[in-house]
Amino acid sequence: MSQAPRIALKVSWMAVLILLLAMFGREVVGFVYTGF
Amino acid sequence: MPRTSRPPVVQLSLLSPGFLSLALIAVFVLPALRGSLRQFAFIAINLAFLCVVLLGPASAVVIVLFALLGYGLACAAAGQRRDRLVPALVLCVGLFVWLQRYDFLQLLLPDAAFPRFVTTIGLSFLFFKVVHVIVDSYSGTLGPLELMTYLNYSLNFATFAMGPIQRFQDYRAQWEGIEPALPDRFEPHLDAVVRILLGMVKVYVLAPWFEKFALRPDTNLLDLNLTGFIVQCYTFWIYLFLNFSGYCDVVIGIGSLFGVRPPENFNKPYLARNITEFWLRQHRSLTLWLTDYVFTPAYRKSLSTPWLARHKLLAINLSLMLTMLVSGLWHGTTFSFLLFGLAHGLWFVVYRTWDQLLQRRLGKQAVRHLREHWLTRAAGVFLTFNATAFTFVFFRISPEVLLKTFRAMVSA
Repeated sequence: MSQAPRIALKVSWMAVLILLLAMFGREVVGFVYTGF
Repeated sequence: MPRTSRPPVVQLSLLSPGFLSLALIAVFVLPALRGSLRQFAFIAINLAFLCVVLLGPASAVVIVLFALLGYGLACAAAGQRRDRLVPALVLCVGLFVWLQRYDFLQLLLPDAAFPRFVTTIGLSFLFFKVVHVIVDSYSGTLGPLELMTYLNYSLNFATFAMGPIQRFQDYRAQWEGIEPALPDRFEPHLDAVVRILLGMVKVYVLAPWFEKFALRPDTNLLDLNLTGFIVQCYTFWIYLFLNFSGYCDVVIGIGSLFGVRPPENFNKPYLARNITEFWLRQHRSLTLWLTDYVFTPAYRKSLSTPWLARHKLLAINLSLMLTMLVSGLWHGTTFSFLLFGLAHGLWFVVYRTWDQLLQRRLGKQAVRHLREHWLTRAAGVFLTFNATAFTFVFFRISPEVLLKTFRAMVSA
């Protein structure tokens, strides 16, 4: 795939991610991996 | 019993105005600056993060003092000064254990002996960076240790709270532009932004959904039937992966944009075929640190004992067990984490011994062919996923609940 369509695809993907975050994003307590 | 049992949560919001503002300042200001101005701007961002976003001023002072102590000790140990290296490491470890208020220490010392006002989020990662700098400074592999570069390395806001654990040499090479974090083109920068957003979706959309079904610190294991137990273990595993790998995506993206890309920390750990592969795919920067600074020295030391030098498998297994116990204790201060380390250590021992036995019986070539068979691979992925999911019970459940469960099982 040449550069322009690839970038357009990535920008669209960004828009989808932002939409997901705005619609379904929930405040979380924090990160659990490490105890401190 | 320990007097306190803190839940294993780092309270940091990547969507908070404080964190986002500092990230934006770093991304847009740092690349435009040069020389000492860039260093001072970065230290200002890092200190603002510690004081305002993560810890508060009092704890930030303690953290900066700990980092400065590390710098002093690294300078003192430089030039293969073994007489200084050992006391430096003992001091560093002792201070770390005291500041973290480990459960076992609370059994020995009164409450008044602990610094109650200090919040130690991120100290465990700082501790690993400091030990790495001291040891590498001692061995002569660190190169020149300039104070401002060191401070920005150790207090780097992107990786301070939860890693990935970057090596000083890697940080400095990128900071000085010897190995640029990103190629000077538009698309890699766009990729970094996409990665930040993907990480945010993992942390704030996907992980909370799985958490609804996951084990909780106060879950009574005896109330669960087998299906419930399996579902809660699996969903906790997935939740943990999304939560932590999402955080790593965000900070790797931000770091790349401001000029210092942290190392990769995850590589599809759910596809690991054995315990060794699992720890190279999950929290990789921690595994590499433990390999370099715990496993390798312990294994070398054990080989200096003639009896262990003749029984290399035992030497490897003992070193692996020690490494995983250190890993467990590093992950958390309670006894649950010690059990987590013990379980993974035992699993390493069983896997290595089994592998050796197979190789002796069938030969290396046959074992290699066997490993590549699709059925062996599938069985390995299945076993590893399940074993990691079930050992995360120790990671999640509080020591009090574990003890209650154990007592109930014994008396039943």
